[in-house]
Amino acid sequence: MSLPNDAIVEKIVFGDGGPGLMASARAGDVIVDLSTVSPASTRRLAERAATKGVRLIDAPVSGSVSGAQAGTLAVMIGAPKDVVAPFAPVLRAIGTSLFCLGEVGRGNVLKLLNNLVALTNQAALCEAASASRARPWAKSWPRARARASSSNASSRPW
Amino acid sequence: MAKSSGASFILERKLPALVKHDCRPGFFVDLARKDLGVALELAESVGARTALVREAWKLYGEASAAGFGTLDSSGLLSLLEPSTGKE
Repeated sequence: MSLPNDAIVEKIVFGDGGPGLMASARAGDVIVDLSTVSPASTRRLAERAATKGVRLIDAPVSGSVSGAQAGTLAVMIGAPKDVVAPFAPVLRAIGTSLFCLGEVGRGNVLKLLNNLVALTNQAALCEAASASRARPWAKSWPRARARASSSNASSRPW
Repeated sequence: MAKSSGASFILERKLPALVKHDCRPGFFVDLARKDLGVALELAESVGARTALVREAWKLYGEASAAGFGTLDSSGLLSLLEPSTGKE
């Protein structure tokens, strides 16, 4: 499953009004959660699932929509290699890079740190893009050859 | 810039859209704000400094409040230069 936040993950796993995944899970089953949520919430749900012999592991992914379509995502997995091994073929369908990080929750730690870098980077990029269009030099950029500039919009030398 | 020290995955993937001011998602501004918020909590829970990230998180929050929440997260540009719009 890959869901928007930890409250929704909890409802899907443990049910909310109706039965959740745990209702039909048997001891020995593994639930793989691709959602990006706090490591603390993942660990909490994993502990609850463990009381019924079910293993919940975090496996958030990164690599944008295009990576998902191409099956080239990075999968950051909060479990040791031997636990992941039986599911590796399934995960390889979406990701070429599987990182087994040992303990539950660590997938989300790495994913959140990744997004911290990527999204802060993107904010900086947007500020730079905005500055590049400022009046003093907006008209003076030479046409660049980059594919980014092949649109009908004005070219930028990046 | 893609051939210089400012290069990044985000630059490579998002630049074509930024140049065209094409904010179709992608990855929503609202999701970016949520992820950065959770990342901030995580970093602060271990006592890490987060000044830079907090400013970025505020920007995504402003973009969301301005009605850009379901634009691609690179749609921050719409907040930074509201007059430009889609060319």
